[in-house]
Amino acid sequence: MTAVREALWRVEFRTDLTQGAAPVIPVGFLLEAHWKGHARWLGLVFRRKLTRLELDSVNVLTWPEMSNLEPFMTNLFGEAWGFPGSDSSSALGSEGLAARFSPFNALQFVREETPVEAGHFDPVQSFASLYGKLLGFRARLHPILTAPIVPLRRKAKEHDDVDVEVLNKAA
Amino acid sequence: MSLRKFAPTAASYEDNWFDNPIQDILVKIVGQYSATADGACPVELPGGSMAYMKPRPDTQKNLVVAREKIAADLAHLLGLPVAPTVVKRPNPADGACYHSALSLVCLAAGRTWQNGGQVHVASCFEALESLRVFWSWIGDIDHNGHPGNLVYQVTTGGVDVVAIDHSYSLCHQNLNDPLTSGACNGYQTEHLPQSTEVRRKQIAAIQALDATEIERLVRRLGEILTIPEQDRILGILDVRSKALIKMLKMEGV
Repeated sequence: MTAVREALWRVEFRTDLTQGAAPVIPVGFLLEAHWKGHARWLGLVFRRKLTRLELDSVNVLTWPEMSNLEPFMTNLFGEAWGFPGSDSSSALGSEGLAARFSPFNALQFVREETPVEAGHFDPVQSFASLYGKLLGFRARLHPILTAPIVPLRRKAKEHDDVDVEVLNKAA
Repeated sequence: MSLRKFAPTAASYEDNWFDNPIQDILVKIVGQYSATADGACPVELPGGSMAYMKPRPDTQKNLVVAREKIAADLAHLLGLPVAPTVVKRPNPADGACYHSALSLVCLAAGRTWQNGGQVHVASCFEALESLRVFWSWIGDIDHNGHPGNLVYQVTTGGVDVVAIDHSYSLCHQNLNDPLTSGACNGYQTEHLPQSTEVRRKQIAAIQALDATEIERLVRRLGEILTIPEQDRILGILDVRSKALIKMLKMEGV
């Protein structure tokens, strides 16, 4: 069986690092699996923008990228994919990226305890399974600070819409 | 002008942690240990403020903790932006079974230097060059441009910095030779205009420190440092203080 290394990261922005109870803004999830010598898959689901109220709680002088998330997150995805060593060995590009956004940063990559369970490599099933898992995290990317909602007469949807973008690559 | 521009909530800890170096503090661990040499993990203090706790269980203990504490206390004396630190006693209630260093989180929007700090050098060069002299004094070898050991934030008033992680200091690699490490390279401030003046002032401030106060700061850590360890650290600080001018190439400047 092919050995697999895997990691799941929660990307979040802590609005005040000095206070434990300060709001934490969910930004995205990064998922990676690397079957040494066989294949590698990396996926990122992220919010395209923060709400106005969320942005008001961000120090954008220090973190200007938070007001224009989409290109920033797309670049981070590319950085993780191209991280030195991640294409040849069983290293994980996401680990290299996460080290750069350690807990000393307001924007953090936090390792999720939930196992990815990528299993052995199956050319038909593996990528689709990981993609499905990644999409499942959309529900955890709702804004935490929003303007009061004024109810209008309209038929309720079965599921709330979340404004997210999904990127994935396999090789 | 103060170089310590910490969050307002830090003020209530600074003097207390300086005056009471070893304390019983119950913390709540809220994250994982980092993969760095000694490891640090975020913890919440009883009042809701945040700190980082080190070292990780699988690393060296008391000397690491003592170096962190001594560096923070000496920086406090000099008014330099090093995160206030306290020694936490073991407490089975929070899972800490050995003495740890708690390093206060001081910047609300912190960002490590590697994530864009270099473009702000001119705005905070006084703090950085002062720190470089300080690191040179204490024999710190982990701030030679280290990307993760300096945190900054930008505000309308300028750029604030806080130095973290001083466990690789006080000649940790060779305790028998106080001059085993040379001057610290810091963060590319050495050749900036006015840096010579900043350097001169900081050397003078270090050499003017009261030796009995430095001795008191080290000796009071007897709970985690043996007498020979205390003697060695005091010897290192004394020798390096006298060598600072030569070390930083300030002879005749």
